[in-house]
Amino acid sequence: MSPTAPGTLQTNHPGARILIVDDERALRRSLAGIFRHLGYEIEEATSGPEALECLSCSTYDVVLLDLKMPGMPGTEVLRRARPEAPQTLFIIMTAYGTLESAIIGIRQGAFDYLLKPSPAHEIVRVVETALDQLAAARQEAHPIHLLEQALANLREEQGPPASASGSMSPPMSPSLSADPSQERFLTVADLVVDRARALVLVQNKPVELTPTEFEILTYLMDKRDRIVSASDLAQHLRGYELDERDARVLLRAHIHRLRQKIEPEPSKPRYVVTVHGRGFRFFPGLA
Amino acid sequence: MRTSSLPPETEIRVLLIEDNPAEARLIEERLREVPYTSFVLCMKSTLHAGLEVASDSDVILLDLSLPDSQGYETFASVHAAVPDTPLILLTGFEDDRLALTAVRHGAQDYLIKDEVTGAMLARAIRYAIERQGAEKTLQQRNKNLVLLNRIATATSSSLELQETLDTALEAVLNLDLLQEDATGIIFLYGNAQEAASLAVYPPQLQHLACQSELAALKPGVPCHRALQTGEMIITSSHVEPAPPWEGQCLCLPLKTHGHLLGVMGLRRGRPAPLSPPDVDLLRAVSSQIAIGIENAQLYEQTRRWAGALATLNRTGQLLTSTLDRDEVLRRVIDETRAMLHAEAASVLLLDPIAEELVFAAVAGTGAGALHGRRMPADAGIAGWVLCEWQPVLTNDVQEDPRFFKRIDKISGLTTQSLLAVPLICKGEVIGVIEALNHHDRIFSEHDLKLLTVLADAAAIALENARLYEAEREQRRLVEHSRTQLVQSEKLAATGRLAASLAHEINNPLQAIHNSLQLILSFPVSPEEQKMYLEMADEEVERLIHMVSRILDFARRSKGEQQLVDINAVVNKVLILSEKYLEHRHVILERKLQGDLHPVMANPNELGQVFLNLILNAMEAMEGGGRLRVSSGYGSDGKVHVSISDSGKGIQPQHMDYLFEPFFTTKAQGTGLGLSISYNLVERHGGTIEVESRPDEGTTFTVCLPSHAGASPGGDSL
Repeated sequence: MSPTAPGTLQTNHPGARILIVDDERALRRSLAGIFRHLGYEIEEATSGPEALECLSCSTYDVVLLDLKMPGMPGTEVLRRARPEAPQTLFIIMTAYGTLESAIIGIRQGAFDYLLKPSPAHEIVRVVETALDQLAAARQEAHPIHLLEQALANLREEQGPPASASGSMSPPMSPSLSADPSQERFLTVADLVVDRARALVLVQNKPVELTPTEFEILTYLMDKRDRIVSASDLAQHLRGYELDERDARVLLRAHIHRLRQKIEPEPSKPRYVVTVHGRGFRFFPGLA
Repeated sequence: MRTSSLPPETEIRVLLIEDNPAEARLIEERLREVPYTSFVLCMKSTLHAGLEVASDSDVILLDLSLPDSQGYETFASVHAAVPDTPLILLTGFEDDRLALTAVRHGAQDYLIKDEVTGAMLARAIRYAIERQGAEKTLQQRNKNLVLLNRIATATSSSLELQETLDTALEAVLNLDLLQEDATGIIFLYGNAQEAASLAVYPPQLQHLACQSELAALKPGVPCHRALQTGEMIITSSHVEPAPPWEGQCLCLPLKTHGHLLGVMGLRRGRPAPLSPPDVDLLRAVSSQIAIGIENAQLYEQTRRWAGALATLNRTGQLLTSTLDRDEVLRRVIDETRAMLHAEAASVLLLDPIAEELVFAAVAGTGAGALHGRRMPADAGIAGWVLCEWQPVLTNDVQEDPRFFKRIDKISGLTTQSLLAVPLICKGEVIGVIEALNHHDRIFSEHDLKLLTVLADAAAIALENARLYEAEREQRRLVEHSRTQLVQSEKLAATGRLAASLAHEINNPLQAIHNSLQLILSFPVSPEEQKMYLEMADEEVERLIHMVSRILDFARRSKGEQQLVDINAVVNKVLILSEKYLEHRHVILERKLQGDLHPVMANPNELGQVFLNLILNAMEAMEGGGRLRVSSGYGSDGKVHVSISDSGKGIQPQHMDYLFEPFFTTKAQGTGLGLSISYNLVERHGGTIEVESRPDEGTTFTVCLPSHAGASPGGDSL
């Protein structure tokens, strides 16, 4: 299945069943309109309880779930519905102001989140990605596929092992990242990083970082329990060896700009802190 | 006729009027008997013949019974004709009573014809002459005393100098020693020690005063000499100038206590010698007039000082009654001009940074051209005054090398006389006051003293105005800072709503975007298209309302108070924060009492206070809670608005510091919200009360005075 090209509105999964849960009538109905024209089967719910009721009566491929709703927040709907609908992927819709709740939602098992307002093609892309993943998972769970898999295993037992990835993963717990060592979200103090979206928020406000700056930040965040030398960081960024002094020269301008963007007081950094003679350490205040 | 007593060897002219030849011969014989005295006897037998020669005799021997006159009538006729000639009556025994009557009326003596001896006759004649002379002298002195008294009365009856001079001169010209055509003039020293004529008599010659002034006081003329020498000058005959001043000139210096005040010039048409008593009289008269003049001058001086002090007092009050700098300057120059009779006046203030003098205020000729002009701080007379801290009085400015002539070119004024005084305040010279061109040509020391006193008052008034201006500027800055702080805090409060506002804005934006994408990307039916466009339109409306609501709140307050419905203000704040409430899972209980009296308030500022209290309340309820907002009347009759939360409450030890600036218990707080809220409510004449119980919650109550009977105006936030 080819991925949906950005800027176009089309689906590879006509007939997919989607539930839109949002108390905002105009938003809900306009989104439903787009999805219907794409060929999805759409149902709408205006509140958390109504969504739960729909989920108890029907099966959906994807649920687009607004987080902030009067009465019952989206996270609560998610918490209650997931065990009841293990074959449904939940996509959380939220504004920047409630991104923290979206992260909680992801950790509770939501497939992904959407920040409002998002371009229609982005919404469709995320939904299509979910549907792609769902289709792949279903295919894996199909009996014929299972049979093929068993045969392959047998062949492997007779011959040299070709791959270690043959173990069956739980079919209904798809994840964006194949590397379990990498958390998607990094949250430290007022800083939130969504590695998957290359999104950085400082005090809930998005900050535009260059790819190098983003790499420096995430590398230091990953290694936040220790001091990272400049040569180590340069090696990670550029893939070649530099002595400490040259590495510092290489990094100086990037570190400076990164601090300007994320530090409350760039002259007295609290996140990217220089440890004299040894390198950098991320947010020592954490320890 | 001789008017003084005779020396013993002098020849005495005797007129004998006797109709009896024997009696006449007898008298003649008796006179011839008298040793050491020569009598020249003239005998007449009738009254008529006697009167014809009466004036040429030293004494008259008169028989009362004459052919052409009898008895007392005879005496009366002769005495009337020659009142200054002593008369001795010759009578018989029977005329004794008549003779006594005549003696009472002016006759010097009477002799009984039959008893007359030579010695008796000679003694009677001598006594008569002596007595007559003594009487005449006495009369003359008496007359002079009367005149002196008149002059003294005249000079002391008025303290007006001109009146004193006129009256005195008129009285002097009535002296016997002067003649009917006599004229007089008085010159007094005026300003700058130049004599100027002040009085001329007779009045019809007044117009000559100015002409005569120069002519009369030319070096060498009698009045000038009298002024030079301080002595009386009496000319013997004609002297210049031309009529009506020809004749004999008597110039009397007017002196008191050795101080020369001026000169009195008198002229009489016919020159005649003056007797020592006349000279004494003239000295006494001139002294008396000098005293009168001095009194009048002292009075005039005292009056001028009293007037000046009153003016200065009034000026001082006038100057210090305003704190407006421009008004002070205007009053200073107006008063300077009025008080000193100056054609123009200016105040120059020092600009210490530019080291220049600035014409801060100018009045009179050329004012428009000079106002605001600058000149170097050391230029001109003003510059000299500024540098030396000394006043300048000059009545011939053009000759003064310090004078900055360019100023005259700019103003168009030709400066003749000038007064300049430094403005000194708190030991610093801040500028100069100048007065130019006295209306009477010259400034006096008196004027300088006046301007010096005025300058002191002006310096104080200017300093007061400067301090007031600085104070006002300070207040303005403080008020500006306060407004800025209030505005910053308001924006900070708006920022606290930002998360919920983002949510409120992003939802309609998403709906609008979806609707438009749908119409643009899919073949939708007209009905469907209409439906989505209407939906987008509704969302746009919603956004507009929301944005205007936020902008309304966040805009800078104009600080104007009006009658406000307090519930409307509360409701608007609640609308603004309702999403925030929702997101924080806070349940709102609203209990607003209807029909509350309006309050006099700035709705925007009150809204800021309520929002701040509501946000604080919500932030005190982590994980949700109950917010109670109520309004009503308190027991004090004021309008109360209470905001209660069900949060964790305020620590008792923090209660005393809640409204202190920079006190905060929040990690991100500025500590200004409550302090500014309290300040805003105080400016409305209200208070904020707080009550808190740990783990139960906190209630803030805003108490504001109500305006019963008034109805609220526009109550926008």
